[in-house]
Amino acid sequence: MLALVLWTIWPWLPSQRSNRPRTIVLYGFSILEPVITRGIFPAFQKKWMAETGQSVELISSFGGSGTVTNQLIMGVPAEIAILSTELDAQRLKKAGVIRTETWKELPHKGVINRTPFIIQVRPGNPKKIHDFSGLIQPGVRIVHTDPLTSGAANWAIVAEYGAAVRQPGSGPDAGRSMLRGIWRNVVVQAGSGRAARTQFDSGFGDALITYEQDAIWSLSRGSSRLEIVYPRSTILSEHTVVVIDSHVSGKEEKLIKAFVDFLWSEEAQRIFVESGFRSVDERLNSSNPRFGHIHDPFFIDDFGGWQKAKLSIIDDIWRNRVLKELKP
Amino acid sequence: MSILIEQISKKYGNHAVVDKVSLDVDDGELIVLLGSSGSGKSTILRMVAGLILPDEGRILLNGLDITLLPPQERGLGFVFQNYSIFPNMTIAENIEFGMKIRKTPASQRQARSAHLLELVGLPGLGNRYSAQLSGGQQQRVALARALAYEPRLLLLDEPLGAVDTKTRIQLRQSLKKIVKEIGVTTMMVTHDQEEAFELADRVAIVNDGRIEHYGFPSDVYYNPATQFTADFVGDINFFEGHVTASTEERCEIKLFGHWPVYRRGRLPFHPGQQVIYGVRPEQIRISLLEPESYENGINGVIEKSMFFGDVTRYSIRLADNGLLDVQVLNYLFIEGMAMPYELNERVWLIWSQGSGIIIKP
Amino acid sequence: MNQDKVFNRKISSMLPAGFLVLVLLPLLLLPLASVFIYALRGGLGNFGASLITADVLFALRFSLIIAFATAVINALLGTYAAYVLSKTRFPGREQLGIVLNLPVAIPNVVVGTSLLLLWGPIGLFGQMLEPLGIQPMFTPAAVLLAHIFVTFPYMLGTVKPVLDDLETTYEEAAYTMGASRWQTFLHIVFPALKGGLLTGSLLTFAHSLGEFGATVMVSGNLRLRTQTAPLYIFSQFESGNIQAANSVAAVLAILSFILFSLILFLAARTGKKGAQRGK
Repeated sequence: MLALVLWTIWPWLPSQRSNRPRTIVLYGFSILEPVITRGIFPAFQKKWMAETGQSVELISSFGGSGTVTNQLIMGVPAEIAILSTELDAQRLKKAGVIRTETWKELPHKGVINRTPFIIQVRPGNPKKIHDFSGLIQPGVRIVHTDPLTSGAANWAIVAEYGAAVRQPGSGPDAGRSMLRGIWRNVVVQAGSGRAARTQFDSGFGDALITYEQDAIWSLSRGSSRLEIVYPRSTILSEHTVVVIDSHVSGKEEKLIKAFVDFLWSEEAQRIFVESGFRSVDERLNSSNPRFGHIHDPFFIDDFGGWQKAKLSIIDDIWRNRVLKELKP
Repeated sequence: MSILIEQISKKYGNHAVVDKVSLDVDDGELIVLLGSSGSGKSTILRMVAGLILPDEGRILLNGLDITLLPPQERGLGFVFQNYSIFPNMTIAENIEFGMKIRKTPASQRQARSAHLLELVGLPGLGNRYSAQLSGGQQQRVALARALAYEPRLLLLDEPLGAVDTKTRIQLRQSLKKIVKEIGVTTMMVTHDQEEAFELADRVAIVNDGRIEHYGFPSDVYYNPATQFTADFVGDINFFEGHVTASTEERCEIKLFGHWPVYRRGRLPFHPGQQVIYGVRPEQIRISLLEPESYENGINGVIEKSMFFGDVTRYSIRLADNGLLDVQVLNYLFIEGMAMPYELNERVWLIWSQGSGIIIKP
Repeated sequence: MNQDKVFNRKISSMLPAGFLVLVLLPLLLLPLASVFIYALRGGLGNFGASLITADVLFALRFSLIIAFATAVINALLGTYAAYVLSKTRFPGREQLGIVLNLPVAIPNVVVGTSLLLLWGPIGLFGQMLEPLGIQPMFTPAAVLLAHIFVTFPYMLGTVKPVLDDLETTYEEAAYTMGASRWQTFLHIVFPALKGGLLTGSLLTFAHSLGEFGATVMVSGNLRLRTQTAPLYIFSQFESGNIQAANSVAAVLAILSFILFSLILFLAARTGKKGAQRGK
């Protein structure tokens, strides 16, 4: 009993107190967890130790991008947030969590990495799904993320819509009917990209629409024999770093800046590539043989940026029309 | 005078549980508050102890006003009906608790508790716990505990109410012996009149929040001040009557409007006054012969007889349709000093002219 | 023939118990067993390795400290509340008793939300504290606050019945012997409460150790800062690290099992004592 008590309070004993490290508090969207906690941060820790002789500790929390954003709005003490979409960064500004669009001052407008949206199917592709259009056939059960809490869901909807309207010779109606076809088949709406992955891995559904990184990461762990289907055209999601300046004390400013700068260093970008993210530095992307070829990649800027895409695609077409049409 | 209670009252809502009660207790005296449950007797005791504060009136202890003093500062000993022996302490620790609070040295405490245990007849049981003692033993411990710090006044709330009849009679005697030996002034509450008469120097009859009669036990029994008291202690036959003559020597009362009985002595009644006339069953004898001129007598027919072991109780229907109870000691029949009576036998009921009780209605 | 009958009777007397086990097996026992199976699937080495990461060590330590602090604070608060409810008379006493017991009836998530709405940056108190630079939510203090709130009724529930049964005459006896209110509490009331206090504290500790709904709302789920063991399990499960999740789940299950056995043992012991005392 006494041993348990001693063990419990050990780190807080006065003798242990003096060498408490400095900390960085980071909130990230779900699929970032392994790469940040096991890749990026240890590398930064080493670098910081070499440069300053100080140890630094990462305090972090990961969840659906929307959830993280909501937590930030509720006031969690994050210093850095990495969000799945710029949309969530804009919500932070609107809620007054940050005063200016801090991410726009960062390299690549705050985008640290990208990953295309792909379709993952069961081994052998039994439902013969080769593109988004394959998802609308009857009887396909799709695991999707929930746009309310997940950034991945917003990306996926734009990917599905965009893939349809970018087919040669099709108009805006093609996008709507694509969404209607896909969403008719959605059987699970998970709260985050990672939660959707867990659901799909545990046997639900025939197809999962997710980040390429998520699929590669899952395959690299060897735990699943699922296959990746690359749509002919799909969106490359871009993930935004936001510094919550009001939470960064003057004393920590240098540390935070060093960490943020590190995210775009070649070392960090290579770590992202290794773990399945596509670097913002195109030259590095050839180093990961798992990256598949996409015939027609597109970006959110092709739809006028998130602010516009959110209104026209997510809110107007998907929420106000497709969902209503699907309701019995 | 050890304790003086002046006009204390306690109300709960609109109901006066204690209504302007006054009492006095002399040094070393043992008084008993006798009443049925709900009469307010325990409330009076608790007000003396300081566990309940009176709404009005004063309580003086050795001339000192203690009406509003907290119980801790009164220095009284209290024995509860359930004894309330602290279960987490040994008997000795229980007895020493009050002294420990008073910071009496340990050696003195131990000597005192050993002495008290001997006094109450439980020598050597100091190391036990209350769960290991019988009800009677617990009662003795409670008494010893209350006496430990030499209280100025001992209060006993139905101290024998929770033990069986046999033990109760034994405990009564030892209780009186201990209290008198120590000489502590004592107020006790009980509903048991036998207990009250045996222990009390004076008895207060409590009814409906008031004291009906406060006096020596024999006075309470033979000269009750109120009809309630007369009825509450012992058995009694009541008749309505009116005084027809009152002289220096005796009082004449007519029952049923015409039947004369007499009471010796100079009594504060005047002719024409309506009164209650009472006579206790054990004061009456049954006879086939008419009463003598110096006796009271009335005749009737035996309607019912009940055997009680030591006595037989007869109910006699009077000529004027009243019913009168008479008690006859059974050994008188066995010794041939009286004849058993048959049902429906016409008999005389005879009692002394010195034994009737006259009460203002 | 006769032996057959005896045998049949034996069988039929075992039927209800057998049925109970059959029902409980898939409901309680098998899910618990699968936690251990999953935790140990990678071998003991893997099980151990997944337990000694900084995150797990912190989460377990943090959970234990919070549970201990919650138990201590609620032992004090709960005893005080039980004493007030049991030994004093005031208008609205019954209603107050119901209000104090509410936390068991409200879903923990709602407790978490309401704390957030009161103490968070957008809440009433939160906005009052903000200019002072105090932000109580998403800190260890927030977790403690939520746990105190959620487990409050357990202490009340174990201590108040003991106080209700403790006749006032024990206290009155102490008063007449000269003991102050505090001395009376220390020497008379407290010893009587010991059993209830211990059971209540363990119950509180166990509930705090497993609390999830309110914690997830108010903690911010920050690893190495506010992440409790159940939050760690949930996070790991959600990110697909089923083995890591189950290792910690197994540790929690064992801890809870030990605590619960202790509670049962104590309850049985005090029960016996009570019977003895009741003559």
